[in-house]
Amino acid sequence: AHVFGINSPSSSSSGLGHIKKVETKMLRQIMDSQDLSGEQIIKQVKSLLQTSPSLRTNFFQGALEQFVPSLELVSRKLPFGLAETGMCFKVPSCDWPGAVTQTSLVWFCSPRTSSHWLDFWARQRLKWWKKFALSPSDFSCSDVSEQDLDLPASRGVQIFYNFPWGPEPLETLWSRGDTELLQAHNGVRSKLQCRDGRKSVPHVVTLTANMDQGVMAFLFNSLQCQQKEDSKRKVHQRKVLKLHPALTPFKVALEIGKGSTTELRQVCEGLLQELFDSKISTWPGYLETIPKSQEQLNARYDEMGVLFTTVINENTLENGLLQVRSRDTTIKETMHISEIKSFLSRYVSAAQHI
Amino acid sequence: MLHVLRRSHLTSPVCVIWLRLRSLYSTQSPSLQGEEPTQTRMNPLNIQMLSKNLHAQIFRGVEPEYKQEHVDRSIQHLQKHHLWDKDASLLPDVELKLPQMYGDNVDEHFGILAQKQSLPYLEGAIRLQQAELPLFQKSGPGQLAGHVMNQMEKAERYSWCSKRLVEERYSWSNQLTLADLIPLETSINSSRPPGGQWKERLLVGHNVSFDRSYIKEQYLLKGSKVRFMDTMSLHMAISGLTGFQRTLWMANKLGKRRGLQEVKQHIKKTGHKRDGPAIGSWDWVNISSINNLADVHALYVGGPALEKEARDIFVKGSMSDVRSNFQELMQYCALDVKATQQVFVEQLPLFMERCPHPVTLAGMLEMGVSYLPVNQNWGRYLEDSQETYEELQREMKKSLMTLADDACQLLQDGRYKEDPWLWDLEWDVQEFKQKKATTKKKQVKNVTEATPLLNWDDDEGPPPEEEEDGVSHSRQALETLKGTVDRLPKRRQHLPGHPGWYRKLCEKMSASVWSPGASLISLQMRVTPKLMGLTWDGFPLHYTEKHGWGYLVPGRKDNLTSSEDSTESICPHRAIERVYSEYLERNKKESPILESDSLSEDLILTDTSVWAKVEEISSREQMTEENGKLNRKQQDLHNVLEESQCHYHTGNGPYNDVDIPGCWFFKLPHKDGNHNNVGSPFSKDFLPKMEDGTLRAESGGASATRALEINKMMSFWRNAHKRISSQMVVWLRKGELPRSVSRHKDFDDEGLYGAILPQVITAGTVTRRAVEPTWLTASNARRDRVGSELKAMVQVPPGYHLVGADVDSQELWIAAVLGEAHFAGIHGSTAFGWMTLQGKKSQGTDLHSRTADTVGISREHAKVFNYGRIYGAGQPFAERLLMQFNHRLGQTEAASKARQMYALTKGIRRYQLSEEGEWLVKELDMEVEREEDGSVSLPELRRITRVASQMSRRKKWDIVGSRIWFGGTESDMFNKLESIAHSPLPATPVLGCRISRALEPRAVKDEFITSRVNWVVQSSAVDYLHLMLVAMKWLFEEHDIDGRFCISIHDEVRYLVRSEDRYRAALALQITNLLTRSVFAHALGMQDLPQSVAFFSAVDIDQCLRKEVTMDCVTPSNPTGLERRYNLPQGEALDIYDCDIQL
Repeated sequence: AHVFGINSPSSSSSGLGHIKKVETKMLRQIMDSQDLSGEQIIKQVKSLLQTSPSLRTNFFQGALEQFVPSLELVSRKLPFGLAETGMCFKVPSCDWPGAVTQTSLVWFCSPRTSSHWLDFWARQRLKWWKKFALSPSDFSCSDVSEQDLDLPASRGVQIFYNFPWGPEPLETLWSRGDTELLQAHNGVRSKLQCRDGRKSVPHVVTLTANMDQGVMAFLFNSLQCQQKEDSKRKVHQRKVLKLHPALTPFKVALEIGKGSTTELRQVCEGLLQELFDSKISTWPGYLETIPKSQEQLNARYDEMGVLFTTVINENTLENGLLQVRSRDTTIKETMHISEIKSFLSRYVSAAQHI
Repeated sequence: MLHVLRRSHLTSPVCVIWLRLRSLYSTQSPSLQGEEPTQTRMNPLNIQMLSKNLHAQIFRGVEPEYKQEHVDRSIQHLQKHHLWDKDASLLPDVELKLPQMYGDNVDEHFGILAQKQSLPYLEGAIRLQQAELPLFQKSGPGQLAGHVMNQMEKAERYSWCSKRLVEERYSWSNQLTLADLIPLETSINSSRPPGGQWKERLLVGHNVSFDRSYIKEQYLLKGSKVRFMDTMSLHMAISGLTGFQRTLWMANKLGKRRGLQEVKQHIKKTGHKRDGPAIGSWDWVNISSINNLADVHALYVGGPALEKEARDIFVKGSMSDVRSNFQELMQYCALDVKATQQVFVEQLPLFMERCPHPVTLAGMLEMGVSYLPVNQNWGRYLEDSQETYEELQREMKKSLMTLADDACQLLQDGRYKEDPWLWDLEWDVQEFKQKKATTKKKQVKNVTEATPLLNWDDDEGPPPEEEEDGVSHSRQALETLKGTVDRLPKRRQHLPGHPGWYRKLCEKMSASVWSPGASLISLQMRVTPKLMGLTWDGFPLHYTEKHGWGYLVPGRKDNLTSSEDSTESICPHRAIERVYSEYLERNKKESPILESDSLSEDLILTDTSVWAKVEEISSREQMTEENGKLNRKQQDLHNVLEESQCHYHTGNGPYNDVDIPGCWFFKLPHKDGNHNNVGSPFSKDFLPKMEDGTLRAESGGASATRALEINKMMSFWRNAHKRISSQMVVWLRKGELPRSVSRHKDFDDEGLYGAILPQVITAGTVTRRAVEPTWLTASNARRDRVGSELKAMVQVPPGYHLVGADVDSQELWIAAVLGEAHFAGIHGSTAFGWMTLQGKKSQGTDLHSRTADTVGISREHAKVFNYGRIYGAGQPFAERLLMQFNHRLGQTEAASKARQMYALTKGIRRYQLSEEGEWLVKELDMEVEREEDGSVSLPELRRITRVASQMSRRKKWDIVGSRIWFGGTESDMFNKLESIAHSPLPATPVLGCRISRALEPRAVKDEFITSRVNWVVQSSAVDYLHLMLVAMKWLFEEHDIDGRFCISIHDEVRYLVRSEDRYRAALALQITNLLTRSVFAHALGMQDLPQSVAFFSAVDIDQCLRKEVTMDCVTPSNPTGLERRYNLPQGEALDIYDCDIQL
């Protein structure tokens, strides 16, 4: 089975849809013009609205439109899917801005397997969410109850995250049948039929996730607050953002310790470039001008979720050795400067398989 | 490998088949019109009996007679136990026209039915017994293959070879179909018998249910009349051994497992008798054997030992090994077949003699053809369970890795020294090794200095041209520094900066598949309970090599100074004190932890597990019979020797050889007794202790608690998944299904329909109970156990229903009715019997509530004690179990509770004097205190003995005649059970099946009493089951109910029935229960049956196998339940009043 990535237009002139992009200047012009009667104003505003392009609220419609050409790509064999990610628009409300980052997979399969595919994808998606979680049990999935179905969907599954204020859905999967696919192609069945022995119109399973919400879930899931007693019995709180190595925006922070600043910076610069070249995102902490204690730095990087902090000091210039502190264990390990790059890339890629 | 011994064409009967072959059709004209207005009948003890019409039909007008003295005695007894004059509500009477019955009484009726049912097979068996097997002729595989189906008039020998063995091109498919299996009755590509008629045939084999699972026709939903006789089951019935006996047998015969503690004890106990001239109690070893064919053959046939070496090729070899050794292997198979026949020839007369009732054989034949229908959901279930399991496993590992990471923080400032759990881990770190700098160093410096240094804070403008596309200065600086790598050792150090314990949990970077973090950690490691900060009643867990897992109790003073200056890590006893006081603080707020109601998994009832436990305990401990006083010297010895005692905590210890400053060490309790070491606090025995909060994770927060939870969720699938996923499923094509299935409106062309044939050994234990490792022991679905919805995956094909029922309190009733027959011959005459019949949970008068009240435990726990006692468990068992349920109970307290429980139920021992004793008493002119029945108490007995030995020079007088139980609710029941167990030829009271030769008193003397007492009830329960199977088969045939036997799980039977016949099948099942119980009553001389036990409280009509028809079997692998996920609606549970239908 194939999954193709597609790009549907973010706005279309079709005039359908309920969120529109309207040139406010023109609207004002109509409103302000003195020589139009009330009726005329209404008429003009209506026509302006009619001609203004509408914004997409989901990727579903676009995928349905792409169905026929994609079907040819797979020589009319099911199943296959169309995936897309990007911004979708909705009416702004106090909770959420008017645009959200969505991901979508529209899956086309034979009518008799659609229910199994829904189960399959629900399982796969839950697994995906859990994979990056620090405590996976906060992610759960459950069937949508009969009365909450988004018709014409016959079944639905939602993946929830248990936020501190209660569970909220991150992703919704629907088994939608063939109604909308037929509608999108004006009921021309012959165009839509596939080679599965019975010439049936495929059924559609959709998967839609709100990534903004998803990121929030991962942030909540990864933030670990620990009570920590220091040697003087004083209790501190240690906040660590234990984001999954694949998700954390910075894998490593470069700091300089004691020694000739200029020389050390040069080494840092070199290392930074090398790490960038290997696509390891690095925080150039050595550029910071206000001096901070090591402890303050650690606390800061822990909160940022930076996996490793490495300090380059005069010793490094002497023997090539670095101190690499791990966010998760807080232990400093000595490592040679020639090996840090391969260590980090191995670490991040291996972490995805746990 | 199939060993086939087959007789074709079963024709006329051979001479006399059974003891009495009456006319099958002689019946009495049943009188069933209830002329009198009331149907209700009561016995003299106010117990409602069968209604008039039922009684007349079953007991044929024989009215029970009651002797006044028996009635008086019963009333007196019930009064004593506060059970007389209790209100009992009346049940509505049942009026039912039963089918015509045969014979003069209900027992004869069953005898005739069973003979009729098994006649053709018995004929076959007898002919096989008389047949001479033709000699084996060598021939190549090609000639043999596919040459199976000819009908032969005389005994023939076949060997079947799979096409996959003969034809190279055949490839393995992962789905088995009928064509892959051995055809016995049909031709290739057909699922119908030649001539359209299925014939009765008999197949004999050793552990034949294994062979059966490879026979094509056995997977067909209906048709085959082939039945199986298993020489292993026959052996168990004739000469079987108990579990413990098997161990002893092997020690004795093969010298295996001699070192086992319990074996040594037994040899010591009985050994001296062996030297004596008379036959000793080891005699049984020579008249029995363990179950494999070679040993069974040696027992029944003798002669040269059977050679089994060739079998290894089947087990270990490849297909080509089998091909190249073809002749040798055929020879082996042929010899095995011959051996099986020889064994069978010897066994058959023995079996007929020892299990003389026709019902036993008929029942065993029926049990041999169990059938579990499954569909495509089976595969889904396996996938879901495995996937959920793996997902949980990943999550658990993640939690544990997080714990390990977090613990590393304690390295800073040596804070680990103050941690109540982690102080004794290896916290050492290694020095990073690097060779000394050579002269190169200078060069390096020079090079670095040579590069121009920029002022970083200023904008220098665009870089000079040479840097734009070339290597920058900083790159150069980095590259030069990298040169120092050659000063590192060739083999890199493994995480030198991390503590030793953590290093061990991490993979070396040199590993080809490396994964970061403490990825080697598992629940089984010793470090894990510490990382979780586990506590037992608030005390931190601690591990020692010598004693296994235990916990540290702070407050010890006598060893505080001794090791202050040692280099070893020092116990932070103050921190431990803090942990405990926090625990106390918290407990003040929360309600105190009460005795948990959750049972350890191996004690969930109706399994054989309670019995297994009883047997285990009674074999390990030397019980002196007198009220079970345990020889506790060894255990007491330990406590006396210790000087330092903990004043505020009682538990298993302290063990003061564990010298931890400021702390006592107590061992975690072990289910097999406290001298055993606990190897892991995560074993399933501790699951209930985690559920009730005794064992909990104190540090590590959510990850630790979650890891414990996951461990619990995974426990079932971890133990069972191998057995479950290796179940052999054969899928049927549309044409191989009955038309009623393939043409049903719910039939799905894309669906899968097939069956699993569970490999049931029909009589697999010494009590003749069936044995099978997956289906017969499966527990019911539990919300928090992955995969525990197993049973519900047995799902009917379209147009069918499962009809079945559990026998209500089967074993209790059997034991009770035996006791009542013994005591007064009246139903409900003993307190125990009365409670079984009339007891009500609501009034606290049922057996379990009674026990619960007496001892102050929960009703669920009381159940375990009650069953345990009936299985023959003595006071030590009760004592042990009490402590296991509530570990805070001291030994003395537990002992007193157990004593109290046993005095009330089983009663106390009294003695009947022997002739010699009576003579002595008379001669010595002694005043002896006696009960009505003439028995004397133990002190009285001792007094007589003392006086007697003072008066005469003879030291030994044999003054005890027999020993009886007295004064308890169950005394008479136990007297009856023991009288059967001690009789010269113990046999079940109803069907007269003799006990295994290996347990008969002449072979074992007074050994294995527990097993023998247990055998009486359990073997009678098997009789019960056999009776039910015979009755059901009769009713199905007589009334044209389209269905077949599906499975029996001890006290539960299930039938697969065409949907339109399901209500009639339910009624048939109700009648079956009525007749079966009546046979019991009749056999015990009681011509009546109480109404309350006459019918099943519920017959389940369902589409899958489950405990209750309403259970949705939600588990982690089936989160949405059966109804949503598998589209299985709730079933119906019908009582007799719901069965408003004609048969």
